[in-house]
Amino acid sequence: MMKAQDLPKVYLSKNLRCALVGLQYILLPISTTLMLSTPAKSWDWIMLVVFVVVMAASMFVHTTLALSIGNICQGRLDRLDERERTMRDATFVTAFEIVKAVLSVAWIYGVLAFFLGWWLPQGQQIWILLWMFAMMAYGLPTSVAAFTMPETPRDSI
Amino acid sequence: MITFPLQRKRRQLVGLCFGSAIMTVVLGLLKLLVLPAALDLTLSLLIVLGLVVSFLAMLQLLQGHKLGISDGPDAELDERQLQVRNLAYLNAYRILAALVVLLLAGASVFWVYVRQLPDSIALTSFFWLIILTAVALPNALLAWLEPDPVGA
Repeated sequence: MMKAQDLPKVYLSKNLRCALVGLQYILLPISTTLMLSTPAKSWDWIMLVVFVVVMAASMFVHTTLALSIGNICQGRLDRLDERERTMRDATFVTAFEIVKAVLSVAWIYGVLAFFLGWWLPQGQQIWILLWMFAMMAYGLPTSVAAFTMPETPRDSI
Repeated sequence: MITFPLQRKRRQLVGLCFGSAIMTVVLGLLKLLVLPAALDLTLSLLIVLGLVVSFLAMLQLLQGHKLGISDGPDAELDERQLQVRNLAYLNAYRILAALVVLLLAGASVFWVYVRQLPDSIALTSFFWLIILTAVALPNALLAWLEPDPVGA
């Protein structure tokens, strides 16, 4: 029997969960591109505003998704039943594979760009990309779980 | 009959791979903060050497089927191997997340105080440690933890 604190605290249909995951990973590259293309002179103010807005929106979406999937990503092992453990394991394997693919592509692009003279991030742009990557990696297991978790009946919440 | 390397050998490989990557980061930090410019060339050469050694060891680590570790598609693994593999990925993700946050926090503090970016060689060594961790850490954990077969 699941304890009350282990149950999902927010009900979201699977479609809504998928839409929120999509929103999160559309918002991130758009804001990254916006920040990367901001001229250096106006960097400080525009950056700060965009960064705070993106962070707040991402945290809101992430928290909503985390509350809708129960304990799968954050829960202690002894609180998870067999089905949840299997789901958590699959979630982390998928999330790791995605991070691996993203970093491998970035690495190959970096090497090619270095030798072929393509665009490479400079100065603050490196930090922007790294922070965006860290945000993406932090929320990824929750997003994968929310995306793959089957529809739960509303009355089980 | 196929013979796989024993745990001691596998651990040496993991140590070589991550040891040389960590060494390049330490050398990158030394180059940046402490050592005089006269040693720049020597340090750069040592960093490049460390990167090459780490890369070659990583290629070995990625060949899981030659190391006898539980790595592969789900259909090729039994129940125990699946559990071991999944746990390795879970722990690898946590380590990677901690490493990225730690490096970023350190780099941000450095940026605020020094207002200067590391040069390209030092920067490469930081990125390499992150990429290596992302690509090879699950296999490294499996190679480190997988016990020797009974009777080996």
